[in-house]
Amino acid sequence: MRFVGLGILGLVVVLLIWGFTGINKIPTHEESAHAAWAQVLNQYQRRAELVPNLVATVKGAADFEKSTLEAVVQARAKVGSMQLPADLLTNPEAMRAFEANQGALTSALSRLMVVAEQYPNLKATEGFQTLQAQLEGTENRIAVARKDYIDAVRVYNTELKTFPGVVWKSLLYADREPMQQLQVDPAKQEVPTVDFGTSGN
Amino acid sequence: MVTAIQILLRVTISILLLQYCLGSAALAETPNLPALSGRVVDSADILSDSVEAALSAKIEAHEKATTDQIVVVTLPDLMGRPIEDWGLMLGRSWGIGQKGKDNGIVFLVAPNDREVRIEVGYGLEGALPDATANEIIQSDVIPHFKQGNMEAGVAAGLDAILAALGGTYEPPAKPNYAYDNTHGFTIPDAVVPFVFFGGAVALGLLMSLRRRWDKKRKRYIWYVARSTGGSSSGSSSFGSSGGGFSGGGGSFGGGGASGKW
Repeated sequence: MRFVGLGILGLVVVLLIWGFTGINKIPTHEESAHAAWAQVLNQYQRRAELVPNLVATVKGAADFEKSTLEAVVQARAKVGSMQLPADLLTNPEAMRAFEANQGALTSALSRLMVVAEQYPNLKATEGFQTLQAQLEGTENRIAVARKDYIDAVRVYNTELKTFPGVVWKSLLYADREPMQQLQVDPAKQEVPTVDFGTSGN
Repeated sequence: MVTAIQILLRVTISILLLQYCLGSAALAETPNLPALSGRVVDSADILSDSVEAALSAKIEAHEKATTDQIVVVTLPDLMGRPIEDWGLMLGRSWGIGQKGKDNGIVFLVAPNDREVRIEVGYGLEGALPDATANEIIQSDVIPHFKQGNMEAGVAAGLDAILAALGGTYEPPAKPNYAYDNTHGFTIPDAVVPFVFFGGAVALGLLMSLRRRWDKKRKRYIWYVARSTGGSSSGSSSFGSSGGGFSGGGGSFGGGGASGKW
């Protein structure tokens, strides 16, 4: 019988060790995912701030295709006026709207850059080259931030659904919901085609 | 009864250990990246030994003065992935730049894919903004590459990067954008294996505790049984390779610029 007591003691030790390493995992992963999301927003904001400069520079080029420019301005306005609800990360509807608006700006901007290829005078200006480099860098940062968020959410959601985590969730973190995963926008994967009869490069 | 509990305990420990091992295996999944053999990793073999040595010396002098870490990498094949992915993967997995400062730069050249990239760590995005990185690529590097002079292009690119950093360098007052996961109580990752192994060892000891009746002192005496059978031999290997140069643990967020020629 005395071994039974020792066994129970051992189990308690195991549970304590487990508790120390596992009990904080849900809030820790949640915090990481929130930080990664903040970085996504930060980079989108950075892009939004580039747009007015870009539009002004492009407008300076004579006879720049109006519809392309207007699409960028409109998409930018829509992103700027977007309301982000507090439960954005766990609300599929809100997330879809966010993704749609940012995706629209992404396509409008990439179309603008493709069209700009047809304006050698514009391309030659230093201001445009700087903006182009900044925009490319920002798009790349957005891609990295999204990837980091996707990874963080995958870890967090897995923790909520798999064995040790699911116990802690039911005990302590019952209000936590899985976060929305970002989708890779199919429109972003293909290069926008613009038919001018002549191909640049 | 006794054996049942022991079996239960052993199973629990095994699950814990297995879980830990699986967890670290999942973390370590990265495609085959070249080893960080030095400050210049010439996988594509486009640099002569003397040029490599000269570049390394320049970078080392800069690192000593500023702690910025720069690596020059040449890759024979991008394997169909964008060069931005390579820059990020190499920079992050090597941990170029100092931890917390994130002041690393990966200068990446893929001669066969005819692409080049300057990947800039979070902490140097101010000193070397995208537009400057782009300028360096377009006006210092690519003209040489177009003439087929790879060594001159790499050397000119590195000189330009060092000049850009030196021109505006200030000791960083605070780490930029570093993800802050330090809220609340957490056990550092490096300690977790010790906690587990420590726990396993403590349990092993507990399980092998026996007592016997001491007739002289008229009380139980606790002692550790010699063999409990099947104790695990913990051989853990988590040391980073030395070799003179290693990354300081910096991170990257996708800053920098790329170019093709």
